[in-house]
Amino acid sequence: MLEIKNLHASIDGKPILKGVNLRINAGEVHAIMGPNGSGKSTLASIIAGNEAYEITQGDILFEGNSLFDLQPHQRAAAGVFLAFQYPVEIPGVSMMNFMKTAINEIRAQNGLQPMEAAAFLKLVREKQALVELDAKLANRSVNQGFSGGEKKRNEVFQMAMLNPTLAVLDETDSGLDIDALRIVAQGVNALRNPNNAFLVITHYQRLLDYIVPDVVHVLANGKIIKTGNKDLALELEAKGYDWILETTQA
Amino acid sequence: MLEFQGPADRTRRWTGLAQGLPNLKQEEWKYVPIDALLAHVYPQSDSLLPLNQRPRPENLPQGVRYLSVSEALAEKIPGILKALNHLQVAHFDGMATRFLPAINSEATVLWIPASDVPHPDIALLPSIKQPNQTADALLVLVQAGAHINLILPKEAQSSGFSFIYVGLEDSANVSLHRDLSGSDAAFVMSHLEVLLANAAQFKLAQYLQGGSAQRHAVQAHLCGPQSVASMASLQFAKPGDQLHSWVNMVHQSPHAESHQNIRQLALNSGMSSFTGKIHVALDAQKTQAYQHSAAMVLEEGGRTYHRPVLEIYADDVKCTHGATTGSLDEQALFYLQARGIPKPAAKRLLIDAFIEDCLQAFHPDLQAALRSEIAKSLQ
Repeated sequence: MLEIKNLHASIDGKPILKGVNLRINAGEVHAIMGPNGSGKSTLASIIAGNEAYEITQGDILFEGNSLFDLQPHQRAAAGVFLAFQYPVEIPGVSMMNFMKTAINEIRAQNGLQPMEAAAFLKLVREKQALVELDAKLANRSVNQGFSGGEKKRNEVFQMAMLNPTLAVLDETDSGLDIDALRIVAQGVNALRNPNNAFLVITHYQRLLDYIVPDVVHVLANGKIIKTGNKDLALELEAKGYDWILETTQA
Repeated sequence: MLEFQGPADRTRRWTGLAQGLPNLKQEEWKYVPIDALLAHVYPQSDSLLPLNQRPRPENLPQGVRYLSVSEALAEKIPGILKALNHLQVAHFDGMATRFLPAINSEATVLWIPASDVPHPDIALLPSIKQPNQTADALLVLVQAGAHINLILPKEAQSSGFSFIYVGLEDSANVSLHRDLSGSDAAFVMSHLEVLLANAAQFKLAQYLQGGSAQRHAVQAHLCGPQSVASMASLQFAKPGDQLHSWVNMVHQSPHAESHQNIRQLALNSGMSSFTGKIHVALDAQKTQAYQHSAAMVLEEGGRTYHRPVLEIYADDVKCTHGATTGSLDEQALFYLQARGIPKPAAKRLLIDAFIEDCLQAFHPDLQAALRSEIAKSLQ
């Protein structure tokens, strides 16, 4: 489904990614862990199409086609979703208007008619229940006045509404208490199926207790330096990143 | 009453205008192209130019009168003397003083009677412009307890100066909705003078767009306790536009309240400015006055200005002001795009959100027209 080939990227002339290679198949959950500043969020942003980064080398193929040929909204319409590490507050744009616009724009790009109002409302209620999102938040502006936990839950709610083929979760666990973490993970797990895939970026093994990954990668200094199964996350938790950095350098 | 003294008076006024700017403080005019003002709005003439007349609006509600100043004086219609007296003593900004003699004799009067129930809305018609005639004047006299919406559509289609006076008696309630969308070559100016008695409420919503230059002054005198004056000004400067609004909320009575809510948008080479004053007199204790001006520069080369002026002599008041200028939030744009919304639609969503608060102040009919006009201009 997703194939990242020798990806190099920089921002303001400073190299961040220095040759990332990654392959994710349908039905898989991959986790990327790594120390601060290793390039995890940069990778997530580039997959979603953030133009702030300059791609200096390599390619990202999504279902066989280069994502670099698509603008961010076209990537979303193709089935790519990014749950932001820091969801943006947009005063004045109501959650309902935002979601309705997003769904209908994606449907339009895929040659579908706009969703009927009744069907839309039914979908909203169903997905709000999935992530236990307070229905009142739908009447507020996007992310405005939301607590940290509500913002992250709102990201998973949007993911559930848009039903992407590939979801990238950029540190969705940061700032969440145990209950919120469980609810967010429950939402993600409910969406897992053989036809979609998840790329979960996290610092901590804790999230992976709830969202069990098929593959765990360690990203450090702009490269994936180790790949393993879920036990790798446990090992990192116990030994820290220094251990793996020293091991790979040796 | 001010009288026109003949050609010599005209020459004197013209000379004064050319030498200095027709204002109390020169810097407030620094953005306005004076040459265009002289050429279009105040042409040199040997005699006083008569005012243009606004056609009588259709379907005036029962009891509402539409007549000339001389007719109103002859009939001693309530409120007319108070209005004319105010015009003589008021401290006007800009062009209004130049046209006072004509206003005193030729203005049109719209008289709204007292009523227990709101009157139906009145849509006023723009004045019929005659060659070499550039000004019109309307005196709106609203009797105690009357409640009405006044709509002024397409007020800025040709060069000229409009003067509007609104006098509100006790507990009167007026909402004035102005569409000041100018045609490209128009140089348009106006002065709106408002007098509020006890517990009167005045709401103004104005939309400025287009024209080679526009300058609109609003001066509201809160003369009675519990009176409330609110103003929403939406200014959209397209390339080449110059839009200026000047507001003075004059708190003369205790326990009165005023609100100024301004949104400015500027495209490439468009320019918009706002000067907002709050004047609180010595005995206007317990005044509440709020001013908020926000601007969004949509393209490089667009310019916006805010100029808050607070002149407060009372010591027990609540007055706030705030001004912000920014461009479209790139992070918010990316967030919306990442959810499948194309960049142009995402920009529209953010711009709509920015102006929504201000748009809500407009009459629903005008709101719909403005939304579609703004959408068209942003394409």
